[in-house]
Amino acid sequence: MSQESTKCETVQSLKMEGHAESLLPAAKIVVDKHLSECEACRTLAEWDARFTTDLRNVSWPAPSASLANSVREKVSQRHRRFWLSGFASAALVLVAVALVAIQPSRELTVVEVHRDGPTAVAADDFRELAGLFQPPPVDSLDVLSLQQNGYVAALNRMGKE
Amino acid sequence: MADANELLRRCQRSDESALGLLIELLGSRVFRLAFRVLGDASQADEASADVFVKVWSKCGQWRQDSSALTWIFRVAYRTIVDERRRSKFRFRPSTDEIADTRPTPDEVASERETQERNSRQLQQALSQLTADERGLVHLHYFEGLSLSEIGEIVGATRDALKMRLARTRDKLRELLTQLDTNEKAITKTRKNGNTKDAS
Repeated sequence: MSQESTKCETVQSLKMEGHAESLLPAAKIVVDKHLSECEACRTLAEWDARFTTDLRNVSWPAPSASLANSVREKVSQRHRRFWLSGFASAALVLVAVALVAIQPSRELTVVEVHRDGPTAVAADDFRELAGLFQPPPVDSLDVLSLQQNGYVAALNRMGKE
Repeated sequence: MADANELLRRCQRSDESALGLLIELLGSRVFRLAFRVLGDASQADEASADVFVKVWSKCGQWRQDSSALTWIFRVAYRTIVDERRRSKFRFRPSTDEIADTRPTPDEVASERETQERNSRQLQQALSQLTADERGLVHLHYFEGLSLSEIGEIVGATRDALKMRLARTRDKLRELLTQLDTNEKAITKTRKNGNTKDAS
């Protein structure tokens, strides 16, 4: 990159900074000196100045007179929405808590499948039904059963003998 | 009237009257930015109202490390550009401004006409830019904000901003040259047509 183009870039950069008249006096001297020597940069600077003037001369429609009212209305809507959503959330939480508190104890319900279709069976019936599938309690029946097996085995042995 | 910094501080203390004064002070500047980016007065009105609602609801986030003006423009820029991205609305320069100012071939090119033609061409050229670019052009050329202020508003580094501005300027220069050439060619054709009709 040539020294001249680097200088142009620096000056262009400074010009952009200096658009808001924020250039330091020393920088302004450098820019002005370069602009008096470099035609390309001068053309750009002139274009910038002309464009700024043209842009500022463009006629603008005025903002609506009700802008402030519209903002106030939107702000109060937001406030209303904020409070409403707060109340709604609080109400939901209360309902949920109340539901948990008053919920009846859980009852099991099984569905018995008949030919005619499923029929709900009351919880008491279910307990009875479930009892049938429970392993028998270890009681005298088991002992008797073991004894019976023992007798059978003894008879078998006697028969063989 | 109090300055924007003082008004925004009052907004932080939930002083609604300060919001009204802030709208009075900066309403038209925010509206112009919105109009420049959106290209439609009613949309710009709506967007400006949204900007001040956001300023009110988010003013607590202003830490006073930048000026109130820069902070409000940052909120405005984001709101407006987002609005532009969301809407399907296509930018169109106000036709009233364009149609009414079109010079007839017989008119003498006065200074006012030249200015009006420039304004028309400028609107057309700007309409070819993206919303971001139009926002940048407005903040740099119209508002005359410094690069660091614009950087804070649009959320870009100084170097990136310089590049974007230079690119946008090149694009605009090209567009304006093209529009000027086209208009001159049309005027010339019209003049030739009129001369032939007269003879």
